[in-house]
Amino acid sequence: MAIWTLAVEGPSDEAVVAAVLRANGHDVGVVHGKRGKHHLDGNLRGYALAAMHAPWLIVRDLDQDAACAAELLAAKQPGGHPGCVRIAVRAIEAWLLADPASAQWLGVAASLLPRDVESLEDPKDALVNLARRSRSATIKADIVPTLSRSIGPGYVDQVRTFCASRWRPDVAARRSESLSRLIRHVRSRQS
Amino acid sequence: MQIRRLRLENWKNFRSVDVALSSRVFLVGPNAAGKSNLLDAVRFLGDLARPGAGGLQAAVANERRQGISQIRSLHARARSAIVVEVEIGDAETTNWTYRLEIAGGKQGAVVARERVEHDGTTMLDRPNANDRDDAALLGQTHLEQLSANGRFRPLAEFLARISYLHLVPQLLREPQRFDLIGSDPLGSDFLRRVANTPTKTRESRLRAIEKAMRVAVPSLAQLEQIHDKAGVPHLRGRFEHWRPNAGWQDERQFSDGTLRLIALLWILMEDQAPLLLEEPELSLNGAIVREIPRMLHAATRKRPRQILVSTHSGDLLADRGIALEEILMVTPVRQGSKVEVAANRKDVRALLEAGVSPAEAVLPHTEPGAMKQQPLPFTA
Repeated sequence: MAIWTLAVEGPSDEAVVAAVLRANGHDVGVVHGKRGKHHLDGNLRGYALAAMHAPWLIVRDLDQDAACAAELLAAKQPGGHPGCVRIAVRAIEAWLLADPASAQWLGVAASLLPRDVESLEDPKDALVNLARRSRSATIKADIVPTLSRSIGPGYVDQVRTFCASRWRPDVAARRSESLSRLIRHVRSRQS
Repeated sequence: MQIRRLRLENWKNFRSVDVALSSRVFLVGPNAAGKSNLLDAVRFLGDLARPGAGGLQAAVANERRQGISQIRSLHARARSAIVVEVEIGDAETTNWTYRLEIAGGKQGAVVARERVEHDGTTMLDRPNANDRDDAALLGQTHLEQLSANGRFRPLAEFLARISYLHLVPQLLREPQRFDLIGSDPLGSDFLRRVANTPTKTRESRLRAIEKAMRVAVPSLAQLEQIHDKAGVPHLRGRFEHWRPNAGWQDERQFSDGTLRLIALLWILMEDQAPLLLEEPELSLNGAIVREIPRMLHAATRKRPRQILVSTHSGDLLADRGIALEEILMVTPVRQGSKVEVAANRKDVRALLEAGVSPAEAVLPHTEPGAMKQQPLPFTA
């Protein structure tokens, strides 16, 4: 078992990455970032250098910032430890939707889940739109943003609860290449 | 029920305020801009309506307000009335409107106008014929009188339950050292309130607090209420520890932050009338402050409760689940202060839509330097 240091965009990403690590017998130590991707990008070089000395993971959404993960990495030029930066295509929500258990969590029919999560233009938007069709009033109230906000007021708590209880990273990895690469990277690390 | 709109004229440092309030409101602004004064206007209505609190005269003359001349805005024209008006209803519709205009008289405050509307019908409009026969009647509002507020009793009862909270950990811990009588906003009667709650309700609230605090204080495993040998109530918590069976502590040993969080969550679940909360971030770690908006949401999900929070904390406002409609920006201008809903500022909206957090979009506007700047014309 290794204790990993993380740098992530926000608290929901932290919950997802922690679940991946725990499913593979590891755990989370210090968590950096959590102030959005611009903040993360600004510190990328420092994080990558620190990763030479201990197990680190820097997880960032690709969003629409580049055509592919390699292009984004090249543009940010982190230097330092090459394997520590993992890019979710296009957002980490795709990894959640890749597990069929997400249908029960969101209170929607499994047939409504996207077939190919890696090709979604905006996985977070896809997740929110599924929540709009939920049978559960709590899911709608927590996840769907109303007024001028980007996520619902209980979004992070919902993601945390799902990640800590029902989400199965290994099942999800079968349908998400970027998650599968992360898991291979985590497993390659011997404690 | 919640307060849907607040209008003020000549109240302390506000010449004029007219803002929509959502069920969760975050008040931001530099020091001395008037965040507490805005909360105090709502608190004033609670003081007016609370049975036995002394009504209009006591609410105007108490030590926080010290009479009409102290309440009336410095920027108001002499003798102009102080106006406090609220619209009350559910999230979608207004059912009640209460408007009070007060002026100064020889014997304290005088009702210049008092108006109550319910679903568009006028229930009360003073001064009326009785007031003209006996001018002394204008020394009291009808809101404060059980014999006069029968037609709008639900409104009076709602306003009377407004509560204000500025938790001070030292008072929570050692109330006996401070001479405070009855219910007070600083939290000194918190432990007694927990002890006086029926067992079943108390247990379910303590379980909910344990759950809500799992992120903030992961080592806190269990909370329970006990009495010591002298019969004094205490709250104790079991902290999971590397040493088994070590770890029961009571509130005297809790950290300030832990105690504030417990008291805050408890009080959130006590009632469903509006709660006015001053700077809940005090003595809490930044990472925990970032959890406060989510805790407020979770604690009021089953039993909705309107919460008005004043804050200076960028951590608190970093939560992307906060809507710009929930943020009120209080900023000093030449004549006192103004209050704006952040969602009504096009520049702030543009930042949020570009992925910037509410904190980064709003807080720079409340820093001292920002007020000197001339606003640039914005073209949408």
